[in-house]
Amino acid sequence: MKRNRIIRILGMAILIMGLVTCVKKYEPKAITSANRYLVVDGVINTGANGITTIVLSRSKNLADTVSFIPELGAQISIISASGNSYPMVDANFTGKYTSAALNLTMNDQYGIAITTADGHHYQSALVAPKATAPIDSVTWNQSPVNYGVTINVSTHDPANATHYYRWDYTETWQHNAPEQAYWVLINGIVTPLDADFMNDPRQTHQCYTTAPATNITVANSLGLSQDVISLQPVTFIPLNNERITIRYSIQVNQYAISEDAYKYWLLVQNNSQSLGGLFDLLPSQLNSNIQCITNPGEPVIGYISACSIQQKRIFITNGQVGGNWVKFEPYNECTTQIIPTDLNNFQLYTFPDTSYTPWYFTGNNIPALVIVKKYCVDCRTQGGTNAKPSFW
Amino acid sequence: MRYLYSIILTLFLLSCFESAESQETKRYNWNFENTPFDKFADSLEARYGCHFYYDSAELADFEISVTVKQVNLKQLLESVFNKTRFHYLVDNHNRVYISNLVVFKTNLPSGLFESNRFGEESNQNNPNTDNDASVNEKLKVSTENKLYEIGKNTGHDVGKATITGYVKDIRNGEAIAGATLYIDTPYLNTHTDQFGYYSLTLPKGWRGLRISSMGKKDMRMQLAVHADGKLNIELTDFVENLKEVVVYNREKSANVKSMQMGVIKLNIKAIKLVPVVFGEADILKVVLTLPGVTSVGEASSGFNVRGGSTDQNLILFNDATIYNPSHLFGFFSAFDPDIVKSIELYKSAIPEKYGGRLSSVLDVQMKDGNSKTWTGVAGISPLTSKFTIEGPLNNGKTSVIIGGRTTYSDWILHSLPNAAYNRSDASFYDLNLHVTHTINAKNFLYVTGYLSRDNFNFNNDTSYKYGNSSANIKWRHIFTNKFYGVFTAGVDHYQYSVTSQFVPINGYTLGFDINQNNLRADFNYKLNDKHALNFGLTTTQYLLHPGTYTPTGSQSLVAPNTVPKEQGLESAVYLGDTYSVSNKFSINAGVHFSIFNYLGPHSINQYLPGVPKAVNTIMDSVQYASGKIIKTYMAPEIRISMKYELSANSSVKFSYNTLQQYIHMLSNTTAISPTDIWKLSDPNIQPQTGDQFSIGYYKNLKNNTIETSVEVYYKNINHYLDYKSGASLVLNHHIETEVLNSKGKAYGIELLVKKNAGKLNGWLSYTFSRTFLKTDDPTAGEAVNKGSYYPADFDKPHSVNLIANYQFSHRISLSGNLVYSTGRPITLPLATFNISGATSLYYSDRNQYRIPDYFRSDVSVNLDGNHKIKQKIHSSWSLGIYNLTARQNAYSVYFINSGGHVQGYQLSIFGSIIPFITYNLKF
Repeated sequence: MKRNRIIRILGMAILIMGLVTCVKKYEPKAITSANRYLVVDGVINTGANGITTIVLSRSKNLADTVSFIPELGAQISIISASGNSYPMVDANFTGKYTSAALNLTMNDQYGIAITTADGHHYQSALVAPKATAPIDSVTWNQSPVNYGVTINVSTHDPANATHYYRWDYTETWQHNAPEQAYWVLINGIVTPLDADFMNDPRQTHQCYTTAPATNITVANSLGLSQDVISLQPVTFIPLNNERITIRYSIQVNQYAISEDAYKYWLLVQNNSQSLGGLFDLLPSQLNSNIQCITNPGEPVIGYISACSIQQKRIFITNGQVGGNWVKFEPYNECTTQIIPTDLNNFQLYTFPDTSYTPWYFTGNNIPALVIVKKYCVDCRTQGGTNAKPSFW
Repeated sequence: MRYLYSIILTLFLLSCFESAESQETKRYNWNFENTPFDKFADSLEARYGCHFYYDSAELADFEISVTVKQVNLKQLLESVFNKTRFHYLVDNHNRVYISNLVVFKTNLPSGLFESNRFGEESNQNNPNTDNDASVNEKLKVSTENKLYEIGKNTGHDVGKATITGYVKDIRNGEAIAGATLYIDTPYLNTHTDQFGYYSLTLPKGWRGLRISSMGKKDMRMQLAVHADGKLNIELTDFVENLKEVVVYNREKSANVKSMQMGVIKLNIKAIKLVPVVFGEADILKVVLTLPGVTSVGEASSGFNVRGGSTDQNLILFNDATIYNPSHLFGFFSAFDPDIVKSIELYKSAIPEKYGGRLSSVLDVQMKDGNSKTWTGVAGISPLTSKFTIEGPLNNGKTSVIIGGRTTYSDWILHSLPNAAYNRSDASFYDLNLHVTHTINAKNFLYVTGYLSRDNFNFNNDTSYKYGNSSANIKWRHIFTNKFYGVFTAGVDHYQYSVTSQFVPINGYTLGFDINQNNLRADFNYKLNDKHALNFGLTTTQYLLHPGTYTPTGSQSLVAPNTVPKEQGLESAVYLGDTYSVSNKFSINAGVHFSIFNYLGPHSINQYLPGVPKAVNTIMDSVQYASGKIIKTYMAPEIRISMKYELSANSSVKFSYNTLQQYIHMLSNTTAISPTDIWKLSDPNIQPQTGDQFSIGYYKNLKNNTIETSVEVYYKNINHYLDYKSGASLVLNHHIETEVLNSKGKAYGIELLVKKNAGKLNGWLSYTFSRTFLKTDDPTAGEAVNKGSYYPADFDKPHSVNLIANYQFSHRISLSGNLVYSTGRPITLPLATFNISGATSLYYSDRNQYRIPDYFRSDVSVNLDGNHKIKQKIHSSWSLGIYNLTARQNAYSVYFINSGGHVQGYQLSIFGSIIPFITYNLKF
């Protein structure tokens, strides 16, 4: 009797109840403010006839979707401890400021002075230039596990004076349109290519895409008895990436940097990795060597170093890599249409649908034009340029 | 002098001794409860028309508790004074004379000495003779005004004697720890230890002994101390009589009079009144409401005491070290409330007995099993159920308590309208066993076992498992009535593992464990009434497996990675003396000398001097053989505290401590996981050291029913481990390259108002505390926030807690709490930028911002079934609402990079009103 009652009570006690967790957006004022801090990206080039390039941009707040905010209209110059000043100009209004070809002496100290369009004045610390030792080699190796290709750089400083290194690189690779066209559309006229169509600058079958580095690489040689860097990875290309489907080239730039600069870039590298996982790293603060003179509390991003720049380029062709390296693309049928040509001028092209482009003529007496979806014959729709780079 | 006066007075009385026959006709009902004698006399004078003559000083501590019906004056006086040291006379002018017994020595009531000897009386020649027969003859509280003779009356009570014994609960024989025993003239006091054992040295002669303990009815005993002897005391529960005004003992002022400062003791009754989520009484949640204690977030495991980190607390469960004191990542504490007797939190004056952690000691005491009868408790709530059974074996010589708790929260997770939760599982259990065995009056054995396990699987992806397990055996031996020792041997184990097979190729298991073997001997020696000594030695052997990463599943391509095991030995000798300089001033001074050996086998990296420790600055790696001492650290730790009583109900206390810590927790707090790693000090990681000054003022108001205190502290911490920017902690073979030797300072003020009794009770606390850290490592290569002081992760300046309980009747009580604290510091990503091709984040200075302030209010109603003692089963309900205002307090803040931009999210775990209901059975 009593037992029954207890069981009933226990049953009642189990009420439906949920573990009520909720997630909402966290957007405190510190984050939603514009947070447009000046970003100074570049190295003072102390090499012979060195052209220094500094890119000025603004940081974005976390919610911004624009990819890049160039800082235009700034007055920027290289300054030296001995009082010289070398102006830089943004010729193309892209935020990329370049100097004339300079021969900066190694026994001076250099910095950057900036006055932005809004009147703020910024200045970097004056840094002693370092001579960058030449790159010994840029090599690559392919992983036997995942067949990815790693690009490595090796260098050494016989003077034992560098210790801290930074690298960036420029990649260029060839990619072709699926079909070859011998005619190209120029000013509404279907124009034939030269007989040596491969070298005709109007061809659209072979394209070359050039991209800057997407990661930062730094290393040091402190643990070694000699100032040597051996096989330092600078980038990784996963199997079947478009880069090595035909021919690939990478130019590695090497910079000798100071210990403080090394630390700075290491933190930038850490902070560029993903957020929030179990094995993730703790966030880092960046201490720039550039200061806002007019508003000392304002954060500035970037670290100015002065050094000569050493470069080395290598090529990798598809035949050199293993693993049947092909680019997997979503299947796009090269849909064609046949349209009649103008009886007076068969080369005149007036087809209104711009997603199509001429491919070839067909028919015997009255030619008809076979047109095709643009991407089938124009590699530029996939990015890059059809102009072969000078080094290719 | 007073003695002489009594004699003269009584001689006069004897000359006109007559009985007052006329008073026999007046009969009344009386009910006195702890009534002071002068009030009692007034009442009688009013009714019977008599006049009392007495020495009020003599009767100052004589209180009357008696209920009689239809009695005349003589009958009433007889019932009050029978078998006490006082005698009464009523003359024919209705004058009542009360006198000390001594003057009537020749007229002793027959049978006084024959029939009223209590306790274990022993003869003077051999005060330690066991007399098992007298064990059963325990004192009963109902006999408060009786006279208890200790030793044989030789007629000349000169000098001092020591009485020893146990204070126990009359209901179940459970030892009462921390009970205060004191006599007023001269003022002397002592406390029972964790076994309920006490030793009190006092001048021979007539003494009024008072015993008070939290939650128990105060008790007075009249002693005639002739020689050393034993006296066991049983206390009854304090049952509030709701219809009458309750008179509180004027001397119940332990917080003012006790030597200890910065100590908070709570018994389980008080803990159970605080409403908590899911209705499960939770020790750690209550600890968090105490002044000076904060946590990083709701439902997070661990707590911070006075600006210390979570790993700086020594959490002991019956002397077993608990490394993770929580279940389900902090939703529940790892201690089953039905098996806990009391908790003590030492915040400033850490007893010399303890060492190894910088901030605090939380001593959780398990209940002894009921030594009188078998009883049990069962409880059920929507998430957990638990069961405890306890009782005697072997004629009460052995008592056992066994408790278990488990959760079945899976059904709730599966019923939630969220696919991720549907595929999640969460479960835990814990098991407790405690056996108390009395070998004989001088030897006792205690065996304790504890096991806890947690299993959490989120979205069928990653599963987390962790658990504590401990066992220890304790032997207590009483050498003399002033000297006893406790010998303890124990093993503790803590482990966790994380397994993920979501991506079969990346299937892994990450494991970690700590093993500890402990040996300790603790001695208490009561030198005399001025000095009480504690001394002993302890040693703990550590074995840590800092991380094993193994492939899991047949398709896994994960490369195994094992961080080599670590071994160490932490030993200490300690000595402390509690010296009562005067009635008002006492000092406790002690030293805890600790030695830590880091032991092989292990390989130790040696770094280039003067440059940051990093992988590429390793010069050499030295391999040490098994058992070889690689590095030894040692230091004396000073423990001093002082107390000065300003008045009967106010005092000032001061303490100074220095401490060392040889084991450190490394935690990546950005992730919600129990994957904290513990690391021993080694040649590259120095022990943390700290010292703390604190000073406090204590004042009790309204007959000691309201306790108030103000405590101020200042702390220094050295070699605190903070992390370098971008530190990676998991599976790191060279942790020393990721940590920053930091210096800390913490200071604060804690205000507490506590009402212990009455229908409304509870406490209100306010804490202002700051904790700052500063990189103090010239070779670190980087300094957090440019080397200036920055707030620690757990720096929460303001914290207010209100816990209130209102007792409507014996059966219904209402409890509520309000919690407010400043949000904890956070480092925010402020902007993203592109530089040299990389997209990176710009973070604020470390801990420059704070998450939103925390506020929560809860309420619960506790309904008890009827209180008929003879009923076999007692039931109670607890229902309430957690987070009454439905405030969405931030538990964690995190950022996710999605679609090219970074979005911040705030996770609230209890983001709405949560009702709960629990049913408990007692049998």
